[in-house]
Amino acid sequence: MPESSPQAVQDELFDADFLDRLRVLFLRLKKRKQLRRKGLQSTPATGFTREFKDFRHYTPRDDYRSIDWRLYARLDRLFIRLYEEVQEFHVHILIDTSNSMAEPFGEKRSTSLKIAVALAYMGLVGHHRVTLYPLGESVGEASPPLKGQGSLQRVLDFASGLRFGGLTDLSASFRNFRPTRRRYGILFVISDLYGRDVTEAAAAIAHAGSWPGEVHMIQVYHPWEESPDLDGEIDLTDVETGEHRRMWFTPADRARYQENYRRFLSEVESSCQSRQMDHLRWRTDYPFDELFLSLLSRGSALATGGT
Amino acid sequence: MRFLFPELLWWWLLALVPLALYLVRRRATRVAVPTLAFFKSLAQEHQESAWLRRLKKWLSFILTILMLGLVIFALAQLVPERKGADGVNSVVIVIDRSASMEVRDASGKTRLDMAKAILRDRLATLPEGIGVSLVAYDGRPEVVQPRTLQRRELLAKLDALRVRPMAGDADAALASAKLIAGVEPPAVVWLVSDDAEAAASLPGASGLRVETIPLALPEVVNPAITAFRIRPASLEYGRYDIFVQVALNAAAPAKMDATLELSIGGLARQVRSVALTPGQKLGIDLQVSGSKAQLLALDLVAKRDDLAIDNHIVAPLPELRPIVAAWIRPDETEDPYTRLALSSIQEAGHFQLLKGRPQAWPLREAVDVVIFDGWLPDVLPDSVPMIIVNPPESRSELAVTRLAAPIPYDQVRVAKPDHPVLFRVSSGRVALSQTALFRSVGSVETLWFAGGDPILSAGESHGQRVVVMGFAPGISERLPLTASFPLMMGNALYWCAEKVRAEGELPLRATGDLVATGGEPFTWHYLQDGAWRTERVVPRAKVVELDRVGWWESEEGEMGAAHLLSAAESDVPIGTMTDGIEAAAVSRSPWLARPKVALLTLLLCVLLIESWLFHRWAVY
Repeated sequence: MPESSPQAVQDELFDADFLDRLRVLFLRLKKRKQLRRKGLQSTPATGFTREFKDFRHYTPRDDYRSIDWRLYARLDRLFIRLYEEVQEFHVHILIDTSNSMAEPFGEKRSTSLKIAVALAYMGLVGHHRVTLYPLGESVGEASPPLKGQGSLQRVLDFASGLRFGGLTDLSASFRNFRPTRRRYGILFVISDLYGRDVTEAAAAIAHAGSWPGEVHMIQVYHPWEESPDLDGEIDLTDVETGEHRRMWFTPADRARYQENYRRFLSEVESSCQSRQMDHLRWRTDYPFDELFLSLLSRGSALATGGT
Repeated sequence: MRFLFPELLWWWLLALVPLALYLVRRRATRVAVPTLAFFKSLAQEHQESAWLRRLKKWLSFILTILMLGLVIFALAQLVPERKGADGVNSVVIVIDRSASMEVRDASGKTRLDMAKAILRDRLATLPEGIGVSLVAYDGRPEVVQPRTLQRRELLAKLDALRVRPMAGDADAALASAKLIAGVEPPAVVWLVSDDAEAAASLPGASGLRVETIPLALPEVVNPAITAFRIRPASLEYGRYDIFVQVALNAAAPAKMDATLELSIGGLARQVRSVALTPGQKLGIDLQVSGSKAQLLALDLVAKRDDLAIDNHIVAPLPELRPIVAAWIRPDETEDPYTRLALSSIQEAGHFQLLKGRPQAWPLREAVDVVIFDGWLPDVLPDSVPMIIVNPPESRSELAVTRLAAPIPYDQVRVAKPDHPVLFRVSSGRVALSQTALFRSVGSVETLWFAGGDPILSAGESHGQRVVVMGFAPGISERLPLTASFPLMMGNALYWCAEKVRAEGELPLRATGDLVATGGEPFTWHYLQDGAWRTERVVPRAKVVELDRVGWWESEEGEMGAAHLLSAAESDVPIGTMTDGIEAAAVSRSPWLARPKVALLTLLLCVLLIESWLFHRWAVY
């Protein structure tokens, strides 16, 4: 895959439209949270910290000490100020940058980057510390911890600068990754979870079980990978290893392949569930917004504690 | 080899399709995949070298072309090369089913079996649009199958043909074939016979396009009984004279010895050794004793016999009935010499004599012969043979002049020495007294002349035999005293009664003859496949064809026998069996006989091989 300049990639992936959609997503998430008011890491809706959260019309049973008199002076209406206890998380976002994420289906690369940026945006808006990591044969050099909405451009720059290529060594990467324990962490792994064989993913997930904090496995895959439209004599090439396999692909083989792939997805999911990890299958042709909302509404502390 | 539908060979152009597909075949699709992990378990890897893969692709291409070729060849009907059916609209098969077609070869197949095999083979190669007729012949032709395009129906009729123990008449069959061939010209006649070449030269084949299919074997040995006759012996009660003619076919390689075995009622009576020479007939006279309805069996036994159906004669002995004669004299006195002669016959054989006066005429009893001695009725009878001795006066055709005084003659002149009446009669020392002059008319001819006048004549008048003696034995000098006179009387009696005696013979008939049965049931005892069988037959008509070798008896006690007894049919020819050899080769290799089946079988094998290679061994 020809390398594009970071700026071109940034323009391609994170255009204004995408950022607008992120904001809309954020608002939708906020609305949803207000409706639900409960989550895995939820805190009381109002607290006694000085962290302003919102305004609300005064009602007779409200604490009159919370009335914002200045606003009363301006608007001649009673409002109370809402405060909440703000909890700061450290959001770790691991992006699989192996070649299988970029070739032959570039949608996986763009989707994973979008997910990463969206999660980072959510973290920044929620005043969390956000760190992005490239994941290949090992966990690569991470971005510095970022905080505040003003760091979004740096997130975009980092994501655009990621180089996809090389092999994947999930086991080694997950084993050697040690996120900080100083703050409660939320870890997002965006990967196709392909290893050297179909069992490597489960082994790697076992290592991820020791990570402190809340772990979300976002398994990105292309629909072709689930159901390849191959037929006849084929010469397969592994984009990571360059290994060749020549075979005759029949409809029966396709059915067996699909069965193998579904079993792989199920095993990964069950491995995650057995370790209280969240697992989300992210097919690149599914609507991004729906999946993202689904991701955050599955009990993510990022969704509940950040607003 | 040739094709029945050569136009289908244009379908070979379809080979361009697999050729084009092979040349511009889709190469292996190169596909980049994120991981091979999910593909590794699907199929075996194919890490062959490039030349092996190329070889397998060649193999696939060749198998495809081979299958296409086999299908085209099967549809175009690849068949062995055939002559004789080119440019014709119809084929008339004339097949011999006479007795000689029963000759078996070393493998035990009859000529008819071989003929069927050859015809089946030929018909398989005949274009479907040509109509085929089937005429089978033995003693007479039979259109077994009129013109048809239905090969299956024709083959069924052909398979149903059986050898009939009769002499063949190919000429009549060819005449029938000519009529059939004229319906849809041009036509070719396939003449299938063991003597096809000779049959093709018969007059019936003129104007026909005849293709012979000879079936004669290179060597045939056939000793046979070619003639047989049995009748009661003259003047001997309970004895029969038998004449047997045996022969060896002219094409037999060498002389051979055989044994003629005769039995009566199941008991062996006589055995004769005979030396048979190819092409020569040998007559044998036998005499046996027996009684009515006893079975006479005659078998010709030889070390080798390729046609057994003409070696056996089985027949019931014929009924014995005495010859009844009436001796009519005008007075009581009997000529002593005539009486002596008749008495001697009566004592020696089966002879019954009635005596009477002229008043007894016409006789109330049925007699076989009447002897008028010195007397004649007013009208000579036309219903019974007669011996006229010393005729007194003229009657109708017989002009008689009575002599006033007998004229003695010391010798006679013999005009017909070979006449049966004079059999073994010595004419040299005869001295007679002529008593009457007579002049015969019609077919009566003089046997003896005395002087210039007839004195002994014999012939036929009004359909009855007549012997006239113009002398009186009693006054003759020498004849009555010799043994010649009883002999002459006896000869005259048996000659006159010959027709009656013939009626007493066994009605021997040749197979193929038609007999009138009146539609009454009868029982056959016949020879088939070397064994004697019995079958009750209810005829569907009043006339029955004798289609078996054996004897029959009706419920009324009538008997008869039918045998081949044909010197021509038993003279089995030899020859070079061109088509037969081919058929033998076909029988050795049935695949070559049915190329269509062979091609389809081969196609099936190719499909199985391809299936095995490409699915079991996964040769891609």
